[in-house]
Amino acid sequence: MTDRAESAYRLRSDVRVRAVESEALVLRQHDAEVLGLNVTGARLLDLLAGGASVGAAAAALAGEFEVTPEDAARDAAAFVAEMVEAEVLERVAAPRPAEEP
Amino acid sequence: MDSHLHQAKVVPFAAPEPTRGFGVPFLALPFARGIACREPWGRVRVTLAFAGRRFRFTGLAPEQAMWLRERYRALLAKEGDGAPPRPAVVRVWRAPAGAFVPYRRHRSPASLTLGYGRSAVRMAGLFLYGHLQRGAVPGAAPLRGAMWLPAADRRSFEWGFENFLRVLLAYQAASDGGVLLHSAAIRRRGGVSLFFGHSGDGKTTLSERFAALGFDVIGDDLNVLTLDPTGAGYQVRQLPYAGAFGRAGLRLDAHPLRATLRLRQGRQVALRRLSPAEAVGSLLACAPFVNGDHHWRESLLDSLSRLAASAPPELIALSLSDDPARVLGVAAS
Repeated sequence: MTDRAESAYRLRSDVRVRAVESEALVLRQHDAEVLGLNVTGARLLDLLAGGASVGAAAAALAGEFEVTPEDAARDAAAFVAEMVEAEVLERVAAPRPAEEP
Repeated sequence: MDSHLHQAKVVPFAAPEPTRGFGVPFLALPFARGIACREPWGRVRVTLAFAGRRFRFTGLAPEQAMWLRERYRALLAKEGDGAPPRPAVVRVWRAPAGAFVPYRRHRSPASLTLGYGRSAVRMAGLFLYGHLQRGAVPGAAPLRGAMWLPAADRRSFEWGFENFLRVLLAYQAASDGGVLLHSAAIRRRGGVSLFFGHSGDGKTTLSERFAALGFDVIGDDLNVLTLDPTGAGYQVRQLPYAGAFGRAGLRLDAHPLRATLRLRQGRQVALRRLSPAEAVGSLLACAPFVNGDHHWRESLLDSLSRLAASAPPELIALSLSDDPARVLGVAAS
């Protein structure tokens, strides 16, 4: 797995997500901006905000929708990049490995 | 799987919080922190009725009351009849001399700065400082407020008053499960098609073209949507004196909402149903004043979700040369 696939992200502190049927409305409160996510985007954001790594979210998406694992991984990576640029998600720092005695 | 995972067009839905200090564009220092004096202009009061609610303005000078009675003649309610519902009471105070920055012609008379507290909203605009006590959540308490208006000349008084009234009516509509929307309302065959959009999206141009085709234009700038008391969806009312058509005369009647359309200018005609998230997000962006209030936003989104479910919005893109009636396949009669 690549480093990107193991990365985890979380919602930025000023972001609120509201389900709208099976889609999602994402509000960035600090800048008063809104964007809409369709069904698959809403599901991806829900997985990532819930603590899943990018790789795990892509795998879940491949299992739930008719898409190959490779396509799911590519689309998930692109989605994360766009959500980071849109200041919806921020990367969670990976825990430091324990020092050897 | 749809390769487009999202409709990731980020759109602003409200003005960001001011960074220079509240009220700075309109309030002169040292009044930018607020105006504390409590001196009324007089002892006269005027009560207006709109969309089933009443609004009582107290502390007016006789000439100010006369101006309001002339301007809002169609909305005047009987004083002191005690009939429910209880009116929202707004006190009008005298603003001290020098409180406001002189009017600059490049600034829109309707522009406002709002500050959202837990129980009250502050506002500063052209010749206006005010606050509206609205409670932490809709329905928690009846609305009440105060406004500070400057000199007694009619133009500055009416500007300040009207700016406060727009915010007051937006919150009253939201409190009642409705919404104030930037929109053009076109009536046909007993119902209203509501074209919502931002300034510059073509609402007034569209209204003029529908009017030229013989359609009835209810309002071309701001309209209030309220729940139909019979439970059959929503009703549309023109906001008093809003927009080019609004200033030609006030229409008091409520009209059933039949269709909602997000209006955009485009090179090619387009007409498509908005997805649920697109619909609610677009409506949020066109619901001024309350959409910037994070204390009330969830309730507003509840109302907008119900509205979108009741009248699912379509996106309509038109160029200046398109015939909107032909695009929609409608006739005036």
